[in-house]
Amino acid sequence: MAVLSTDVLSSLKDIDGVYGSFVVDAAGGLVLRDLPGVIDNAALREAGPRIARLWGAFPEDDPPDYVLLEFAAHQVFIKKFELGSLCIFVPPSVNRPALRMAANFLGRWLDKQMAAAPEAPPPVSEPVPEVHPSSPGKKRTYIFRGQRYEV
Amino acid sequence: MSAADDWESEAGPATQASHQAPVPPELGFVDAEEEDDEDVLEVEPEPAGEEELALHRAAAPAGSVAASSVAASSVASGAARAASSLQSSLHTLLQIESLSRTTGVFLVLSGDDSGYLHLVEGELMHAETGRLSGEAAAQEILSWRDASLEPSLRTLAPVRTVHSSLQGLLGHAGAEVGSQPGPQQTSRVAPRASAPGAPLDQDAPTETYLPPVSAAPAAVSGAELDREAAAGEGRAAQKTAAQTTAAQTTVAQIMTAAEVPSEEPARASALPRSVLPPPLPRAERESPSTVAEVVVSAAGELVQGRGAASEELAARVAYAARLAELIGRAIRSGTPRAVELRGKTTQTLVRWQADGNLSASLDLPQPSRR
Repeated sequence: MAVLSTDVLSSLKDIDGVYGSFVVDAAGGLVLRDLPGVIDNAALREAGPRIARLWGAFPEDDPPDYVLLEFAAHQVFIKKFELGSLCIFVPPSVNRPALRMAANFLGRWLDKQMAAAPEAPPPVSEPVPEVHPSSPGKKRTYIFRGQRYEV
Repeated sequence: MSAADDWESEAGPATQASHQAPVPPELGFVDAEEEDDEDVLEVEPEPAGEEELALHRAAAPAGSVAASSVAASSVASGAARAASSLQSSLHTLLQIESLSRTTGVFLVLSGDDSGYLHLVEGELMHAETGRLSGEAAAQEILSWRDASLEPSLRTLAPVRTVHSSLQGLLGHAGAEVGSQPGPQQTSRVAPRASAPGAPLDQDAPTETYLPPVSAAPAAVSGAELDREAAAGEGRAAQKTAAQTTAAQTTVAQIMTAAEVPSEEPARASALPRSVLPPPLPRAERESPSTVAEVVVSAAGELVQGRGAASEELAARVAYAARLAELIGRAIRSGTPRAVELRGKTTQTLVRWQADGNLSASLDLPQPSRR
């Protein structure tokens, strides 16, 4: 079984300005991610099915190529490939032709890899939860011989 | 090696620079307003330097400059010296010197006549012949035919005696010659479109002063030009040596007729359009061809529609916009400002308006904006 690694997504960062990316399958399930921890997997799992349904907004006689969501500070470039969608977070100033070419190339590669392992997609690497050392830990209360202790 | 070649080899960059002699502090332009109040000092006609005249007359009969005299000259411009060997028209040379803003004294020789023209920054300041000085001398000098222009060692006149512009004098001289019955005018300078005496437009292209192609003394047939074009396109090997020689002669004739020191402008103005390289293809402009446009309310109702299938477009826009809002909310990016849905054959652009409505257009694909 082919193993999909997040390294394949890091190749997108060759394009100047790319923040990160993630991949969802045709149903919107999260397959891969290469994003900062500020966007957790729950958010991506929530967005995934809607991304998959986005392609339904295209005319029936016009196969979709990509969707670009423009937000205030960044854009999300969503490239459709046969077995899923590749979502890339980019700044507005990104080199669009280079990004499209990289997305096309990666989409074809993902099609091959996901077709080779359709039944068991690799687990998504969860981001390590950030620990704030300055925040105090939860105190536990003990009662020992009638005395109350908080540890 | 000709005298001009000798000069070219001896005159280095330093010499070239020194030819642009600075204007003496005592010599300045006389303001037009001050002209009436000023006592103009008439300069006595300075007798022509016999040695210099003899030197010039002893030079090549074509009027080319002797190497020794030119090497010693420090006030004439390179354009005049280079062109003098071509027996160029006096008027054309003066036009060139005027456009070049030349400072220097030039000896004008025409048969047994001789005179001097003093130029400062391309303007004629003083003129003198053996009998006359000032504007009278300038008009006489400019009326000479078959005249040659040579750099002179003479110092610049300290006082301005010619107050008409050089362009005006040239135009006046050309009009006078043209009104005479005989073919007196030897200058092939094309008349300016503006009125005589008008100030020289420095930004105007010099080609406007060039004669039209039809004015060339040796008419060039279209066949000869075609042969030259063929040579320029790399098919010269298929041509005979006689044809090549004829083409080269043709170029020389055109150059002589144009009487410009630079090769390229003469080529560009003299050769027909078929010889010139083809123009670059016009860049295709991005012209979005909109198929349909709609405005959809926040509730998904079609507010305004134009084009084919606007109802369907409105529905698709409302659906895509809602999904985009949910995606933006999920990834903590807020409400999108725009969504571009790019298909293989169409492109739909949705924008959120300030009033909450959505405006969308269905276009044919165009190149990426970035």
